[in-house]
Amino acid sequence: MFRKVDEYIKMKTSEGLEIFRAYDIRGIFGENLSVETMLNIGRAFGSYLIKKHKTKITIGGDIRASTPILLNALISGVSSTGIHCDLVEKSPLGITLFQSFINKYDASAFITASHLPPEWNGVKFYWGEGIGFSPEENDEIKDIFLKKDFINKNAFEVGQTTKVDPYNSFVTYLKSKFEFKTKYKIAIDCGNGATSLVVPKLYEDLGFEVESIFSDPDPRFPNRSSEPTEESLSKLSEFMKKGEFDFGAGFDGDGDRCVFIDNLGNFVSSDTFGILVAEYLVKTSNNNSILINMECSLGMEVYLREIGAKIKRIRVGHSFLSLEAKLENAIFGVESSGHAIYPEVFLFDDALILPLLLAKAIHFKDDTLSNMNKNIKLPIKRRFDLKCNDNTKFAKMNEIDATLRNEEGEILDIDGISLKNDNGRILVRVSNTSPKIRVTIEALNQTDFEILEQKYLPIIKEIIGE
Amino acid sequence: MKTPLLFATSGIRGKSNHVITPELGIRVGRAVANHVNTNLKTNAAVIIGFDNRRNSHSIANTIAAGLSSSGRDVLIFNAPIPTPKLIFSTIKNEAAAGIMITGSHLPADENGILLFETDGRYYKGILNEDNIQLVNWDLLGRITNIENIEDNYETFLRKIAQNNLVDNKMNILVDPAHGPIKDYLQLAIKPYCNNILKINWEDDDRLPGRPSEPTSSNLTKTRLALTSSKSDLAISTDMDGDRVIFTSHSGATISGDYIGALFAREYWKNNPNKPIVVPINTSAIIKFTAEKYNGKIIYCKVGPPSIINSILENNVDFAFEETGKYIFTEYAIWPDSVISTIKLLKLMNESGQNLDELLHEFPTFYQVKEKVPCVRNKADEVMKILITEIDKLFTENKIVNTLDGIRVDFSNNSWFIIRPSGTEDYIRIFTEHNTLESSKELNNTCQKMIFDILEKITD
Repeated sequence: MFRKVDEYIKMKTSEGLEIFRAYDIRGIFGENLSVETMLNIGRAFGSYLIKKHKTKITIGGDIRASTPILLNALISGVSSTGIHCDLVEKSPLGITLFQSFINKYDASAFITASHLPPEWNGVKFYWGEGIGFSPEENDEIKDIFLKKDFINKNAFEVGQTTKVDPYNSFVTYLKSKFEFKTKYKIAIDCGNGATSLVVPKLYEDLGFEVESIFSDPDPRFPNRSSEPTEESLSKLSEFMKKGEFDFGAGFDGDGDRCVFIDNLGNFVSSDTFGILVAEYLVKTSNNNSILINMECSLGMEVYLREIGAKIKRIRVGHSFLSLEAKLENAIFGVESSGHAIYPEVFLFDDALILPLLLAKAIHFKDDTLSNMNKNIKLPIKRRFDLKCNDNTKFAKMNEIDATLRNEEGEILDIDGISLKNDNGRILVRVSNTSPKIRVTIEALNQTDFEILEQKYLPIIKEIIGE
Repeated sequence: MKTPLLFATSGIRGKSNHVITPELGIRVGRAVANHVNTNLKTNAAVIIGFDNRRNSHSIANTIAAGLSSSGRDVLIFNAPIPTPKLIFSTIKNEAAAGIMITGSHLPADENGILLFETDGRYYKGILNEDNIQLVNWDLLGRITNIENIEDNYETFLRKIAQNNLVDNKMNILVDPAHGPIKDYLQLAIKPYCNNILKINWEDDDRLPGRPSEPTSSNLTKTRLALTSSKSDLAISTDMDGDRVIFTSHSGATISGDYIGALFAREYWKNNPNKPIVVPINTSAIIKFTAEKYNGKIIYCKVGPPSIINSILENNVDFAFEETGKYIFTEYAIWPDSVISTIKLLKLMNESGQNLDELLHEFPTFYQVKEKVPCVRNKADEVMKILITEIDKLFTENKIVNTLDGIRVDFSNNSWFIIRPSGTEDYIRIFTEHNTLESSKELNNTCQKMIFDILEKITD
């Protein structure tokens, strides 16, 4: 139950490296993530911002048990460098990021381990308008952290913290962007995560009729994994089978991913969701630029090209989604993991707005979601996560890259390598967040799928040495 | 090697964000959790309060994080509060401990941490950091914000204030040193006032009006405002409101010793032969008063921790310290500027006398405070030798008290005390005499004694 502090300090000696990942910082509280670590992360983040002449940020966190003390440590570290903070305390990711967005602050930090188990926690950094820190920017923070190259201000230059609750301005803002003539009835599964803090009230305030399950914040996540998948949303599916709802939505732990269930209780893949929303947006506006990441289905390209969308494949990672959307002036961007952005509202991947977009798409089609879901036929797609040591995964990836380039077909190397041929597509990527190489195989029919699987999977496994 | 967590007579102090840092906050939080886990059989929360200095809230947050990471629940105030309110809440909620982050009377760029036990005693000594235990995520202590409204320090003060009918309402100038005591002072003195004038009132931790310590030399502007507004009294606290210094309508800023003697006199009038507690460096005015009104004095070591311990040990009703701290145990075990102010206003109201008139009978004693540089490890040796040197040099009738340093009292109410500083490399010499010249002369004699000893030791 208790852990001796010396034992803990011993563990800390290796701390600092493995928790820094490409898009965020994540670790297990009490093992490689401590209050002291978060204090120094705050100092590093603040020092980085000061060097870039930034002054004001928003800090918030999810409902994990260790979030309050990590938040305290992060704020103290950041303010010791002279950065001023608005503190949202507990909120879904989007509401913290909204505070910086609407007030034109410089940046935001959010304490969360997203969909990971309860003992995990971490922090994600965003620029004020909502673009996540790039791997290079996160790397600079890591360097400052490791070198302890912190800025430490004198008494009167220490940053000041103000507690805020942006909920009301968030709702007012969303009301100005979404108007609903139909009162949809929706079911929400918060998985006891941070969206529980605002659901069902938020959707009621926005004009929906709402029933919710697992909508009490509980850091143990006792009812389901906080990652929203077809499997983890089985209770929501059952709940939906009462047939009373227009659709159901399940969130992850911090509210940056949302996955849908149709009115009959069937799972709606994020690719299908992407197609439905993209179609609505392209057909009702004069912007046809849609971003889909490398993991998204080939089927999306087919459907969306048919309706005149201009599609760009981008790298996997929410930072790229926001960044590319800004550069390309895209109307919508989607990832197959349940992240999506609608820059007309804001650039960040707040999943709270995704049910609003889906409701708009349903209204546009004037059909039930189950019919819309059924009418979209996507290729068979399966992802294989192969274990591969963090130290060797990039070298192995190079070998795989070289092997696939020798094959016949269309090569795309935006993120990892993808080979498209008459059977379908194989995509191989190094995971940015874990010691894995991810292989996605996609084909129109089972036969083609098996051809690709049987041909390439053994070769890749051999290279990795699995 | 980390510096030990030494809580001296006024807690831990130092430069904001250099000595009083977030890291220190985490250490204090964990060490306090360790202290209460080891010494108390209670799961009660620890209460944390903070003043309005810039990094006070941040330090409070890191202390909360330290406590929680060791499994101890925390109640933390939402907004800056004065120190008396924290002690009140600690006792009232039977908290495992109370922690106040306040720069108190220190310069604006410094800050400090005070630790209180469940019964309101100040913790003094080194907090043990051995065997600190940390818990996993599912056993972390809960951190709960206390809304100001939830406890009734305000009601408590209001009850004390409205005990009496007020005949002659006054015009009072309130000078809270830009600190969070102001609202409580205003609330308490209202029944006694026609008019409340305000100075150094804005919430500003740069302390633009004056330094926080309410010494006579820091109150020049306050005296000017008092006389030009023809107010009846000025009340000047430090920013966290445990000490208060009064200036009379004529513009005389009265030292804490004299106000303490005034309160003691009124106490002894009704309670002859009962003891009060004062620290060993208190002016001879209290001896003068005790002799005249049949009072008894119990001397204790310098600093609030010793004063409060002595109050509890001797079960006395009143104690004070020359800095402007007065404790009326009828109401509170802590020094409280608001309660002290109410007591004085009541006295003025009941007697129909102004402050000058109330103090009229007290003779003036002249104080001189000096210090001699001396590293701490040499100071003990100096003090040992001093005892015999004093005997050689001062052959007249005298009383020697070695409770805390060396105090020597002579028959004509003149006296001196020599004490090594608890926190700095100095030996302090404090003398008092009937004239300023003789007080200076006595002080010089003491300084020379110390220099001579230091020279001998060094040789």
